[in-house]
Amino acid sequence: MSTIRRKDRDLIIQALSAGVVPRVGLQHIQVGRSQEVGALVRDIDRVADAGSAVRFVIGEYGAGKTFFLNLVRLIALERKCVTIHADLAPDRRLHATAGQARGLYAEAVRNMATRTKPEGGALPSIVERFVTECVREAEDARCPVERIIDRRLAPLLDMLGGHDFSTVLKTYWRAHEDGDDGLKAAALRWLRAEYPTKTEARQALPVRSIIDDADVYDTFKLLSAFVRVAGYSGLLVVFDEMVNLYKLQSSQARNQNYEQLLRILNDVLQGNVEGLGFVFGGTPEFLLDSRRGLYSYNALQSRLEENSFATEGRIDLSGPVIRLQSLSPEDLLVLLGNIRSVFALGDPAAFLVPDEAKTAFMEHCNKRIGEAYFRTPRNTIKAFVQFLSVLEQNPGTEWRELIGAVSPDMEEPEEPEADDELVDLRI
Amino acid sequence: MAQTEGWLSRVARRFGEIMSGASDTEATNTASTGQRTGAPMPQAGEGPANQYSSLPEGVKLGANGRYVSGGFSFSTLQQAAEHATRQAGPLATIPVGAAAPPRASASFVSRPSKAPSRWLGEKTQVAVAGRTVTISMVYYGTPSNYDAKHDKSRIDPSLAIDPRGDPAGATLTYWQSYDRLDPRARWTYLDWLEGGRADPKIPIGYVFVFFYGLEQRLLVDDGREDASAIFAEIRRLLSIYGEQYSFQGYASRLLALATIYETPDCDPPTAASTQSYDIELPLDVRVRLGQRLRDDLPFDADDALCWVLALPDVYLRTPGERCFDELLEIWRIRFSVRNPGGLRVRRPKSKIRYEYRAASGAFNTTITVDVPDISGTSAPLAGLRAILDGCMEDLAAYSRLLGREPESRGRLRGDLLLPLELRRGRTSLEACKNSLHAFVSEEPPTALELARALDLDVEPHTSKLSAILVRQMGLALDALDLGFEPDRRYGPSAALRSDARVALFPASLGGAVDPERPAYSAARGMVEVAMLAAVSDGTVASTEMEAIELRLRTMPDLQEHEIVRLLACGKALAADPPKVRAALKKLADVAPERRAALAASAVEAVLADGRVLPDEVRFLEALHAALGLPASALYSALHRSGEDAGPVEVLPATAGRTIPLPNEPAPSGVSINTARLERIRGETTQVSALLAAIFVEDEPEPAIAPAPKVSEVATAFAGLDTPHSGLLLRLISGPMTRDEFDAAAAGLRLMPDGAIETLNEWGFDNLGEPIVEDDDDVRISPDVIDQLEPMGVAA
Repeated sequence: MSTIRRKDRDLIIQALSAGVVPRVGLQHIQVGRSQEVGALVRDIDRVADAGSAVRFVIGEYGAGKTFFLNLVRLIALERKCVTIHADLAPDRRLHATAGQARGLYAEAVRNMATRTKPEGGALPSIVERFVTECVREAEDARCPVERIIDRRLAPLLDMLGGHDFSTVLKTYWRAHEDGDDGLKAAALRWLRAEYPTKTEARQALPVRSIIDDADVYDTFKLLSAFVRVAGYSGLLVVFDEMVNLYKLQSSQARNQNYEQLLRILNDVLQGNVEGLGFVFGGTPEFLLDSRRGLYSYNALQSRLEENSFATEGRIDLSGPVIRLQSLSPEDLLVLLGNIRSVFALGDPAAFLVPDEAKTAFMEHCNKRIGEAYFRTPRNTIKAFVQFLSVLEQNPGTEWRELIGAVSPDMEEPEEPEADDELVDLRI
Repeated sequence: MAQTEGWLSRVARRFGEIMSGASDTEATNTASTGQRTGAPMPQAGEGPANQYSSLPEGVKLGANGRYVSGGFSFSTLQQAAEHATRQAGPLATIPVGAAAPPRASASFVSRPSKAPSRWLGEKTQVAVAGRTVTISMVYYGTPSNYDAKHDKSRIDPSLAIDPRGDPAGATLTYWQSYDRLDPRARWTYLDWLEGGRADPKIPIGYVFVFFYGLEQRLLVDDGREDASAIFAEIRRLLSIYGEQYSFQGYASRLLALATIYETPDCDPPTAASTQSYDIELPLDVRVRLGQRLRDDLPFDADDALCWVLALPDVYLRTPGERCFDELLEIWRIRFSVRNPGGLRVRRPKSKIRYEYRAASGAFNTTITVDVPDISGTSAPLAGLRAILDGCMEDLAAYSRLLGREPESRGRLRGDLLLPLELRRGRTSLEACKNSLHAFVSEEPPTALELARALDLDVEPHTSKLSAILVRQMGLALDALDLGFEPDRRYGPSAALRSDARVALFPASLGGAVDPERPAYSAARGMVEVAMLAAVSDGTVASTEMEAIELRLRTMPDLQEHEIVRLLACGKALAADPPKVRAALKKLADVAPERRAALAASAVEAVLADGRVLPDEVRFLEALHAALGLPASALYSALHRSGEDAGPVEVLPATAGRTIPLPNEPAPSGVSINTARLERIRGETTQVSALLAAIFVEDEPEPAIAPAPKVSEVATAFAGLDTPHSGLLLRLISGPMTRDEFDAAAAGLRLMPDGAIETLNEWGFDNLGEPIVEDDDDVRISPDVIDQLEPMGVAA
């Protein structure tokens, strides 16, 4: 394993001990799944190459979907893509009539990230960068900035809602020129689809429409075109907790959402969009349930069906579905080894504990928590990181003594099901 | 029944014997004479001259049909001839140009009696009351004094005969003797004798008269030298007159003595062996068995069958009678299975004593034979009876079929019904078996095809096969060492439709299983469910069957033949899937602890072909609902299908010697699969390399060219335009608040957020990380300030 920078090390350890996915250095801790990661890297490269991609990442609770999606997102950022992501929720879905789809869009755009702003909120940066470049070009070409903006955004005008979109961008520039922060905010607000009604939008901005429930997917297409114009290589949309669609009680609502998925799937698979990728995360029932899952929607089922030749260990990752299996004890063992290695900055001579400590630690957790320790290993990892930190800061401490004192706080059996927000890391 | 009659008739005869008292020979004599004279027959009238052309010298035939010699009238030619001889002086040879005189007759001849009675062993031509007859095996003569013991059968040539005859036996009484016969009856009797004693229609009374002579010869006159001839004759008579119970009884009793006189035969018993109506064992059986005991030999199968069949209360029932050959065959097999070395019986002390009561009622003889007497022994008989009963029971079906269709003997349908031991090696069975074995490997046949192949009669145009037919099919297939499914004997199934597919499999004796055994019924439920799952997508892939088989093989407590049956059951279900709803309904009463296993097997079956279709999922959901299991478990299980498929079976497990496992170290809870661990390590290395290539980090970027060569003053930071360079320089000189930064950016005609984005992009490209931190105030990241400052100075 390559050497690790001290700064990355600290970030990783900090994140892990807080139970979240580290922002950097994922390559140091990712365990296995090389084929899955490879497939997604190819997807992202295709997106960056003006292509398109869609993936359904299916895994059980604790299988590491979120970690995997985060990893994918970070890879995309690294490939100079813009990413937006959101978790679906009862009030955030792909299709709705009462603002839930707009809610999803708004949430996703709020989380818009670039390589320089991986934590989200990158929309103003992107817009300003775009406008600044236009201004530069206008200065060089000695022509009005608006004309440059128009020319650059010309591809958008062919698309649904493209006109208003470019109008809002121009408004942003004008507000900047005028020093009108209110108008700038209004423009951004419009772009984030935070205007609930057309009236309100019309009062603030020179547009007659808003991004509404029905326009979510079309606006993603606009966004992807926009970020490519702004100098990024593409847009990756990551939606997690897709199971919320499955949980919709009304079959009509469910099917409408699935129709949106079908639209996305068709567009992507037919190559109708450029520089746009989708990754959906969901649980097996979301996929398989024959009454409410994706399989209940025939057109989706036939598109998602697995390659019937990929049996007996042969894998076909060209299909849109990627299955993540839950972690096994072996996975966890390797993961603990990786964490140990991160602590030692990749130097085997500096390992804080010998190999048997890893298994001893796992056995200890097994005794304390039971079999679930490796299926939902977030707290196990947390405890291991803390365990190593103590050893590091107190040289001379015998790990065997310490291990008995470690109490991975998983004794509360209700915890795994209870808090969904904390489940950021489920390596 | 038959025996009762025999017994009754015996009693009746004895009673009659007592009541009839002394003989009335004289009366009969006179009566017959009168009759004869009263009804002259043309033959008698003209015959004597011709017939007796060779009368002995000195004897003449009188006008009244009597023989006259020297002034005396004799009733028989012999008397006359003897008289003439005496008159003539020296002894002459016996008249009548017969063959050499029988040896036995010597004593009689030598007896100085005027009425010699002699035994005609060979065919001899004699005169009887003026009629010349050629007869044999009878007593002949006119003794001077009557002796019931000797004279029951004797043909007294002096007694009258009447050519009218009595072929219907109208004049016969029950107790007969020659002298008491009506003259007409005597005529018929002589006819019968001359006709070779073979007329099957002759009244049995005549036969008895003849028979009295035989028994007298053998037992009263001790004619041992004639014994074999006598017994042969009795056997012959039995073959003709054996239907007559009374004759059969007497004849058999006499014939039983054959074993004393002849070398005992060790022939296999015949169907006739049981037809003994005596209350004790027949003598031949006792002698036969006694000799075994004497020689200290065990009884073989035939001996034992003789013994048990000879018991007065053992009958061949219809199966035994109708199929005696088969009975004998199966008896031999089963007897030798039970008694591999033959049956050993303790030798009793008593010797055989046999009391023979003559059929004629004229004498009783007690015969003692110097061999042990088995008749007091009964201990082994219970077992033998049981075997016999079993044999007959097993032949019952076969026998019934033969009763209905005698022509099916030797045909498939007949052979199929034979008991197991006899079936092996029958050609019709082998042929059928070969034809059916094609079905075993190929597509299962329909029930109709199968029934036809088994030579069973199927009513045309029936949609469902009758229960009887199905049962016959079961028996037939058992006989062919084939099992089939669905088989109602081994588990519930719907009535067999004629177009339903029947799965055949080789199994010894049809592979009977106990359908009630918990392990089996559980496995069967599992197979049903798994098959339902497998067919839920419309087809059954071979992998799905294999998955079921694999699971069956891993189930504990399931034997090979059960597995084979269950697989066939699965095959039949696959060809003919049941209604899902009905099948699921039954699952409601599955024990809770078995439900998870059932569901798991179904999931496995679905996954076996490597694809999960909505129909399959739908079925599994219904199954889980029926079993009351949570559907989420189902999805998890389906999802996990991609995980390690488990050990691959290389060779089927064979039950060998079992070696107890050494005590494993108690499982420590964490079991690490090293192969898997290695695989994961490998993948981890790969993914790490892959990611490292993406998150390029360890590049201190030689791109940071030492600044001096840059001529455009304003863009000391290669790649940045003038305003951004200026902004960066401002930042390097010291952190700013956000407001100050915004102002500075505005001064350079830059947008603040866009400027930070651009600077950081530049930082990523050139230094591998962002350079501007935008928290409370905007500052250069301390990590890179050292690298930026020299560039800034250069600028």
